[in-house]
Amino acid sequence: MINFIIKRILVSFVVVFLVSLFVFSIMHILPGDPVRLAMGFEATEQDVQRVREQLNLNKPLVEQYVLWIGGLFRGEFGISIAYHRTVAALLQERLPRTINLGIPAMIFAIIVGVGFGIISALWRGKWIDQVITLISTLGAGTPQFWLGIVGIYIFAIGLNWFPMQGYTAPNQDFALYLKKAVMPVFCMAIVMFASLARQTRSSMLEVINQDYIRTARAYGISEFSVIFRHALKNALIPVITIIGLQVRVVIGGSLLVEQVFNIPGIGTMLTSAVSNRDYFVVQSCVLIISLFTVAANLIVDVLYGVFDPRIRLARG
Amino acid sequence: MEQRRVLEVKNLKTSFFTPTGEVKAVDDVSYHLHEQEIIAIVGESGCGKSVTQMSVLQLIQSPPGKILGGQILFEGKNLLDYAPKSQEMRRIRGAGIAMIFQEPMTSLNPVYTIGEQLTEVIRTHTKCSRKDAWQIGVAALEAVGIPDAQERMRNYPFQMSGGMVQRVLTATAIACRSKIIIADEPTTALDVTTQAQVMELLLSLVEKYKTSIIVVTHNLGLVTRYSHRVYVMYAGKIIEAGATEDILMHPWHPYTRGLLECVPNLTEDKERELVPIQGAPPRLQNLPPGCAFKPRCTCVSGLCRDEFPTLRRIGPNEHWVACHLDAEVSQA
Repeated sequence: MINFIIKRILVSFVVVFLVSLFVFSIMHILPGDPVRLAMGFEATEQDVQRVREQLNLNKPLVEQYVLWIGGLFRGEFGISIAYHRTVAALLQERLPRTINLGIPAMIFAIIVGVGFGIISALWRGKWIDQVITLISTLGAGTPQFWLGIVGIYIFAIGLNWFPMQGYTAPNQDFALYLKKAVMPVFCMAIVMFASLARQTRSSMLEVINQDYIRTARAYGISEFSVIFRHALKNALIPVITIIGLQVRVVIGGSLLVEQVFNIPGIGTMLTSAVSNRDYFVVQSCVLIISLFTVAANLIVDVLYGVFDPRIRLARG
Repeated sequence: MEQRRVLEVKNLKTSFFTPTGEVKAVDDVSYHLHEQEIIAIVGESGCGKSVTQMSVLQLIQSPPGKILGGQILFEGKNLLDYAPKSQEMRRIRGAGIAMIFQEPMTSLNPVYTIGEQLTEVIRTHTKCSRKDAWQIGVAALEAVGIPDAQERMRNYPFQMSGGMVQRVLTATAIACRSKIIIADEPTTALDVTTQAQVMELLLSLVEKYKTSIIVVTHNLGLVTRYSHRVYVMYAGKIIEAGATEDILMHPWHPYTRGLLECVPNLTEDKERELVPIQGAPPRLQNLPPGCAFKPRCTCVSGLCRDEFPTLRRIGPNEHWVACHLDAEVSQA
């Protein structure tokens, strides 16, 4: 198992390296001059050239890439051309906001999605199953930004239950944080929730019909243990796969959701940085997102082993 | 000598309600089991053998299945008085009547060790600490002849062979002091040498623990060697019953005779041809009146078409048959 984890971590490094190479190339292939965009067209060519030199943008691409990667190892992410600040400072300010919404969204999606899936399977064909199936089908098909806009219209403007937009740090005013977080968290979670509910339902239904469930019942095991000990552990194995896949959907969703709710997190910064060709910001954001995704997949791989002894023992 | 009956099933009826109609899987079946007896329930696939046994423990999935009537008497109680999910019914399962299933490789939970599964069942039925349950489990595994029982408790089912898993299930029944073991095709998925081992094991339990055993099988070779009495099922009904000797030596029902004719025999004349029974068991929906076996029967008379033959006693022993044939024709 330890060997397996080490192997997976090494592979993860390769993935992150490839991502860095890819995002660097893409950004530099895109037309548009970040310095010119930042300084405006009134700036003289000499001024622009001077800033370029400060940012090492006049050096060959290979050298620029090496300088960037080298900086990363020293904790320097580069300087934002548009914000005139170090990317490290920007990240320090914005990353917690995205995490404070994204992690609750994932936890919410996992707990409620798996829970609803179990309920749906146990009461298969009953009204509760149909309601959950309807919600998860709609959830999987509804664009998150649209849901956000409709949510704002109904719950913020119409009912005045929640603030329309914005973000407050939880350590600043927890109640306000909660109030502001409800809608964006829900919007980020909906797609993950929907696919988890569907996967849990179908895999639960499949497991319930297995021979070993019949055996458990035939030996007098209580129905509670049959469902939550014997069936659930088997049913969750494919669900874990979906969790791994959906992590990036939540991260991707946060880009849109942050726009809709005007939350100054990674998402809003990344989208504006792309249009500003703010090289270092885009590269760092993408790299961090890829780190999260890779880490999530690593956790999923380890969880497989925890849940399924066949996998654990095969890995040696 | 009239022996004590540990299990008596009376007029059991179980149906499945499918979109295309009612399937009478078990139709008015009665049988009993004496203390320390091995009985066999024989028939082709789809005759309702397994459904009958699943009904005894009320493990029929509902819907679509439903036990429509009858009595299942065990330890002076009618099990059908209990709801399938009731506490009382759960106490019977495993500790009163235990089942061993056909597919050993899929009948244990793949994500828990043998020890975890065994101790959970033990602790369901007896109040004891985790440690004591573990010890009872080890002892039970040793009792069924599993070497390195301590070690095996930590194994997962996929690390064991089919025969071994059958033994684990048998050990579970022993650990809970089950009075009756129902073995549903216990040997079908095993290779020949393991088959004999599993049967010998069951036989030894009868001696050691005074267990009574019901073997559900289509393997008549197994029947002859181990069971005291045989019930032959066809299309959800018992069509012949009696002592093993009577059934083998003087089979009455053409179906029973047909089953015997398809059994290869090493000691016999090699020239004897195996005669398969033509056709397949009928679908149990909208069965026409009369004998269910008539489309495949070699000696149909006019009576077979209109009237269902009821079980009647023939000969001096407890030999019963549901067939319109009279003695001369049958013995011919």
